[in-house]
Amino acid sequence: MSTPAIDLAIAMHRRAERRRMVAFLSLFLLLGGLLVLDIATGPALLPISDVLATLAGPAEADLTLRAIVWDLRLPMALMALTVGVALGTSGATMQTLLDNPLASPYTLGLAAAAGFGAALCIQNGGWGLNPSFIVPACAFVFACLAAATIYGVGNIRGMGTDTMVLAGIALLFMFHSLQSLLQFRATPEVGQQIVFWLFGSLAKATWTSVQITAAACLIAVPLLMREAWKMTALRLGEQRARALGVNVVWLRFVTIALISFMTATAISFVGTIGFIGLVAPHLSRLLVGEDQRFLLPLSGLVGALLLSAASVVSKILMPGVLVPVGIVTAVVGVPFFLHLILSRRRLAI
Amino acid sequence: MLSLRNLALAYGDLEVVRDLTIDFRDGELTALVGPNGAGKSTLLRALFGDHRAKSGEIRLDGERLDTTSLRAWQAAMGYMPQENRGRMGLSAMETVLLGSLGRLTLHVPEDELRRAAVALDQFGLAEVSHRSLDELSGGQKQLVFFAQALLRDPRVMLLDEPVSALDLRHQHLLMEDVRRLCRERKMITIVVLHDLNLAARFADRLVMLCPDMSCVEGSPSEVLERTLLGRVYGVDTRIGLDEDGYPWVQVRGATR
Repeated sequence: MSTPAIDLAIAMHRRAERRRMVAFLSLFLLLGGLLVLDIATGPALLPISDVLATLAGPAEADLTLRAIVWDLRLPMALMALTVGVALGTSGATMQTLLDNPLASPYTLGLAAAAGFGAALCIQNGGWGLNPSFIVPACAFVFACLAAATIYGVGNIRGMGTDTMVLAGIALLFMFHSLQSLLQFRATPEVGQQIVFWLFGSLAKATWTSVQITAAACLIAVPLLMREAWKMTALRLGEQRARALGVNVVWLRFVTIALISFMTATAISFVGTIGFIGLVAPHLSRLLVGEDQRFLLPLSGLVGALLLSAASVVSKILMPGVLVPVGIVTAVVGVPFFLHLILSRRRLAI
Repeated sequence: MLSLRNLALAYGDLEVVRDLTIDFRDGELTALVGPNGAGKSTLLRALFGDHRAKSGEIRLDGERLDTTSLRAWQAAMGYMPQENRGRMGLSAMETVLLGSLGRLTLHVPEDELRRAAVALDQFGLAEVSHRSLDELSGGQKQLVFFAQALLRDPRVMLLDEPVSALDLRHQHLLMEDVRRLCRERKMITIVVLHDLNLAARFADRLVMLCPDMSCVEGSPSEVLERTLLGRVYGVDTRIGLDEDGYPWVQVRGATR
C-alpha cells in the first residue's frame, strides 16, 4: 500500500535517522580533534603539527617527542576515550533499565566497592605483589562482588528496579564506611595513597590498561547494541515492554552484567570519575531522543568527548600541576549541567 | 476459538478467578466487565501468558497454550496493557515499529517501516508519525498503541481499559476502530471496559466477572439486568433500550 501520507511518514523517519547519524559523525570528528589537543597539552605544550607528524610516523620522529607522545600522553588520551565510552554507555543503559534519570554506572555501589577494594589492597601493601597489577585487580574483584550482591538481592524480587536501587544505596554506604575505617587506621603515607587513588586520575594509564579497558568496551558495547530495541521498548514502561514480548527480568540481568563488567574494568584502572556517566546520557538524549540504537553509542561518544575535554582542562587549569580529572569533571561539569537542565533547551533532532 | 476450561487465577493464596469456563470466537468482540478487583486485568494478563494460571486450561484453536513455549503463545497475542507513564520520548513511528520487535535490526528494514506507516495511516496518524508520543493527545496516543499491537498480526487482541482516559468522542472513535478491525481481521477481541453503555453499544457479547467469582455471559441485553447489576455492583439502576435497539443503563444510586 502506498499513499503520499505513508511515503511521507517513511521519508520523515529516514530523514530523522540520517540527521542522527550526521550528529554522531560530527561529534566523532570533534573527538578526533580533541584527542590531538589532549596529546598536545601538558607540561610541555607541543605544536599540533608535531603531534600529528609523530602520530603518523613514529619511526621518523624525534626521540623525545616520540617518548612524550607515544609513551606518556597517548595512553592517557586513549584512556580518557575508552573510560568515557564505558561510563557514558553504562550510564545511558542504567538510566533506561532503572527508569531513573538520576541513575549512573555508580548507582549500584560499584565505584564504592572498587574504592574499598583498592584501599584494602593499598593498606596491605599489595600483599607483596606488583601494585600496578594488584590494585586494579582488587578494585575489579570488589566491584564484581558488589554487582553479584545486587543480583542476589534483585533476584529475590524479580529484578525490580526499586529493590536494586535500594540495595545499591545500602552497598554504597557500607563500602564508604569500610573505606573510611581503612583510612582512619592507615598511616599518613598510606592514607594519602588511598586518597590519590580515589580521586580518579588518568595518570595511572598504561598501554596495558588501555588495551584491557578497550577490550571490555569492545565486548560489552556490541552486545548492548543487540538489545537496543528491547531497551527502547522499556521506555514505554515495563508492562508495555512485556506486552511486546520482552523478557524484562532477563534483559535487566544481561545488560547489568555487561555494564558492571565494563564499569568495573574502567574504574579499577582510573579510580572514580564522577559526572560522566550521569551527564553524557542526558546530553545525548537532548540530541537524539530515546531511540537506544542512537542513544547508547552517542552516550559513549559524548562520554569520551567530556572526559577528553576534562583531561585537557585538568592539564591547563594550574600550570605545571596535573589536577586529577575526577575533580575537574565534577567542578566544571556540574554547573554546566545545571544550566543546561534549568534552561530546558530543546536540541532534539 | 480461544477456550478457557476451569481456569483459576490467584495471587499467592488470594484467589481472584475460580473455575472459569468460556469460549471466545473469531471475529467476535467481547467486553469483559465487572467491578474493581473482580480479576479482569488479571485474566487478560493470564491470556497473554504473563500471569501463570493456578489451574485449568487455555486453548487456542484446540492447541493448549500453557504447554507451548511462551514465545509461541505470545506471538499469537496482541496485548495493550493499562499503563500510563510520564515522558516516553519516542516518536509515534518508533513506538509502532516496536510492534514488530522480533524482526527489527539496527537498520530498520524498508518493509517493516512501511508496515508501521500503513498501520498509522489507517487511523489517520501518518502525518504525525514523526512527532513525539508525549505531544500527542490521549486519543491519538491510544491509537498509536493500538496500531503497535496490530503490527504483531495477532489472532487474539487483548485491550485493557483502552478508553479510560479518553473523552466521549474519542471513546467512540476508538471503539469503532476496534470493532471494524475485529471484523475485518476475524480477530478474537477481548476488551476490558468499565462503561456498561459503551460495552452494550460495541460488544457482541459481555462477560461479567462477579465478586463472588461466578461469571455471567451473554448478549448485552441478557447480561445487563437490574437485579444482577444490583448484586454485582451494589447499585440501583434503570435499564432500557434506545431507538437503535441497544440497551442502556442509568445508575440511580449506590445501595448501602
